[in-house]
Amino acid sequence: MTIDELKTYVRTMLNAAFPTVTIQFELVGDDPFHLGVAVYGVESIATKWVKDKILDIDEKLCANSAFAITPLVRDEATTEKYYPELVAPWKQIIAASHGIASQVRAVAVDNYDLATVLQAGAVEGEWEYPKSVCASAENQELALAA
Amino acid sequence: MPNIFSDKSAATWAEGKECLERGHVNSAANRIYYAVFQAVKGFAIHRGTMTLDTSDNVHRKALEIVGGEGGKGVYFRRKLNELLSLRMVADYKPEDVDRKELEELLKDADSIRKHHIQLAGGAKRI
Repeated sequence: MTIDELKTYVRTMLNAAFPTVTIQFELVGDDPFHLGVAVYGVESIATKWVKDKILDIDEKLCANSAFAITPLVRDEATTEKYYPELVAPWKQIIAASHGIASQVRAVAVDNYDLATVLQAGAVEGEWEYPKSVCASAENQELALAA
Repeated sequence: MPNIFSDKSAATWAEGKECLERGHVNSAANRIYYAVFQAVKGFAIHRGTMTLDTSDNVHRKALEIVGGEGGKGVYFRRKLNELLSLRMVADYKPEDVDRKELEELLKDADSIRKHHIQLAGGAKRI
């Protein structure tokens, strides 16, 4: 596994559950093999879930390798207050239709050459976000669209 | 040779707890993380996998060492990683550390710290 493959895997997994959040990577202490996974604009109720998923990847993928990833997950309020430049993209996407959101996901996949990860076919099932929160997100999306 | 950082780790831990009691949650996150880190580094020096001068990639190495202990190692790596996340927010990010998140990690953080001091041969003060 390379560092780029690790980034791709993390991005794909998180986007499978949250196609619209902004994901960025940063080095921890200038260590080229230790990534901070910064996720912005996460619904407050979902921040722990996102953090846990990043820790799961670290545990399952990194623990026996030379890599490590550390979660840096921000809810919507924190993103709006401290990282306003990262608010606009995901809000615009949330306001758009499901079709556009799917296109965004497809573009992200194409950009990162994820054939291997996607062929495994596990992304959607393993990373489905709990239905109760998905329903809440859909309701919010409908309200925003209206 | 016992854990060379045991006294320093205990002092740093006490600083962290004091900061938390006074409401200085960012300083508390920094001190509490480093209290654990010092214990792990002392353990690594004891085992010969780090030296006093080691400064490159040390946080990843700390995760690797904690996670590689078997048994509770996987759980400890996860908890140390969560604590590192809070320390990064405390030191480098504009937002404040979430007090509740830090408080929820205290028990595990102290367990990791004491575990790595005891593994290296105990100490007068942990």
